[in-house]
Amino acid sequence: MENKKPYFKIDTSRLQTTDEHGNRVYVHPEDLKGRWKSLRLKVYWVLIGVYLVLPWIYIDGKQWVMFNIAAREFTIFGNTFLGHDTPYLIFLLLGFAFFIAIVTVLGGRVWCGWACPQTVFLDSLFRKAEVFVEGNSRERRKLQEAPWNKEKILKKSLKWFLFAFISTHITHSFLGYFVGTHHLLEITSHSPLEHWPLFLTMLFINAVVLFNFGWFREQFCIIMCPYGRFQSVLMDENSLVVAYNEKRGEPRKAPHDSPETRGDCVNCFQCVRVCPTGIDIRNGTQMECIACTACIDACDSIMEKINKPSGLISYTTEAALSGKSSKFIRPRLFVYSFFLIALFITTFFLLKEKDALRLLVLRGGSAPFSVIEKIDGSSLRVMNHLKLEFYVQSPQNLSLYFELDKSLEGKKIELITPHIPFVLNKKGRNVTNIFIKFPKDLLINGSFNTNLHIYQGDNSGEKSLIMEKEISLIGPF
Amino acid sequence: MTKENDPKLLDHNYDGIQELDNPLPSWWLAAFYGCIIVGIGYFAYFHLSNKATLRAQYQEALSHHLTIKDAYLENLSQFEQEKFDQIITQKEMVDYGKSVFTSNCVACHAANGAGDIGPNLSDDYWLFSDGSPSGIFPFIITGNPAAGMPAWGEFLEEDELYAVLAYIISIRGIKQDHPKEPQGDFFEAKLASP
Repeated sequence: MENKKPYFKIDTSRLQTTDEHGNRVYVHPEDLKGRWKSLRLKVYWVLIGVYLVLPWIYIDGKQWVMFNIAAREFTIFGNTFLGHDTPYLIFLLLGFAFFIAIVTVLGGRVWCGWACPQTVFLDSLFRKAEVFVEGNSRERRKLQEAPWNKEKILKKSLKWFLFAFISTHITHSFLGYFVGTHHLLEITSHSPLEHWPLFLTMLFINAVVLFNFGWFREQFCIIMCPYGRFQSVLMDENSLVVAYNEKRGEPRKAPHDSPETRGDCVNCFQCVRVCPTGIDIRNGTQMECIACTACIDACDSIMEKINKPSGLISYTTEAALSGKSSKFIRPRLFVYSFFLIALFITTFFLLKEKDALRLLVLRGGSAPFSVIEKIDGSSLRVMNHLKLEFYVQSPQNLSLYFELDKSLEGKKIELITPHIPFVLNKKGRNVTNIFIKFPKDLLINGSFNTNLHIYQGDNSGEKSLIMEKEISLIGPF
Repeated sequence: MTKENDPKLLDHNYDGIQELDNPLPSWWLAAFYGCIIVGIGYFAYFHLSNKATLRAQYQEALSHHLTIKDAYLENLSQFEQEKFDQIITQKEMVDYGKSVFTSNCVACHAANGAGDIGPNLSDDYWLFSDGSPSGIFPFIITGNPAAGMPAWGEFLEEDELYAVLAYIISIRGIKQDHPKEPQGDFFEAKLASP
């Protein structure tokens, strides 16, 4: 049977999507319906909804999620990070890595089949448009092989027009995360020439998106995606995979066999026909498999027709297939979870610290210090001018008082603060200048380190210490 | 797997992991050779031509930046009599100037400009200018770092500079409780615009 259909002749010694010269073999997977497919589509639409709606959420006039690269201001769920907050990024990335590891240990490549933008946009939008214009798998392949005639030109241009329409929307939403949706909306109502760098960026991203979803597709998953490459070291025999039950299916139906010895697989190639990466799942877990469940739906529909129980291809584990019971709890799960929780707690406390108040001490003025001659000429006095930059996430009307370390009492040090108290009433940066006058004798080799104490005052006049900052007083040698 | 049943099999064998000599995908090769071609052009343009080296680009950008900065500072220290005349007649701007003074200048010049580290600003004796608005203004902007006076042009906005100047002019001759002794040369007050 399969000899008549050369498409289904699977050569396991090379990628199914390249021929013997390395040229692309375009896959035309059947667009089927089924239990998992309809569930997947629901998840996809929720995810697309999140992607489209998220950049339009504004809280207190501020975009809730935004990555403003030009201003080096990154807002994630209302928390603003500035360029110098980059060290926090390591926690985010590490957390993401461990999270992915846990997900893979438990669910195998569920990310690929259920949540990866590559699969989500491709299955819910681009393939739908393709089926709408060019028809089912057989019709699409026929059109591909047909010579260029009027019908082919018409269908192909309509398809690519729809693709471009979709990719333009994806691209603009994407840019909304970086440029700001309100700002972008205003820009789109102007001539492209007024914002040509952004317009060119949009065209470039659009072209990449269009190329990726229109032509490149599974090549990304198979050859470029790093996650697909290292998933094999994260998974073990207890991880969830989409797999063919060899014990039940084999020996598969063949010409001149007897119904008594035959397994449940009728060799209909329906699982191959629907596979978006062109593999035969019956050859076992393969690196091309993105666990999209299409073959489960395909096989179940056949099993139903021939009155056999469903689940010849199903979500299962290698342990379960070999007759052992699959273990949910495994040491590696605890190790990954431990690191994830530790990272989560660390990040939580760091962010709490960050949210409260941050202080950057700079030297004010062009000269690091100045020397003041006392009128009586008794001792040389030095003045340091410091600029205090406070950063707060929201206007808090904090009243701040400044004092120098208690150990300096009686050493003729004067701290001059223009504002008593200094009130933080602006969101973001609040700046004040302080001046410290001290005798030169205090300095050791031209400098002296001490602490600046920052107190917060409340309505009843009580003051509480909220921050200590080490400062360095400097002067002549 | 052995060579007999697949002629594409390569010789190496690492713990049973073997490699088949399949051709690379054509799009991959196209990208690879494309990068080499672009790389040659890139190298020739950015490293061999004199105009476009990174150093030349940096120097061009820097000189452009310095031109803008100089023009800005030049423009800023340019005293505009008209603007000053407008501001000094508005009480709220003079009050604003007082708040700028309180935030930035009080530390050295003391409350009401009576003088402490810095000189008394309410008398008729001046160290670095002639005490007229057009004379004081550039000095506020450039300061005198050696004497401890910061270059306020780097910290304050133009409006703040004019407002604080208006405040300084407005305190001329007021009675101080603890004035600092006069420093510098005597200049007759020329406060109104000529």
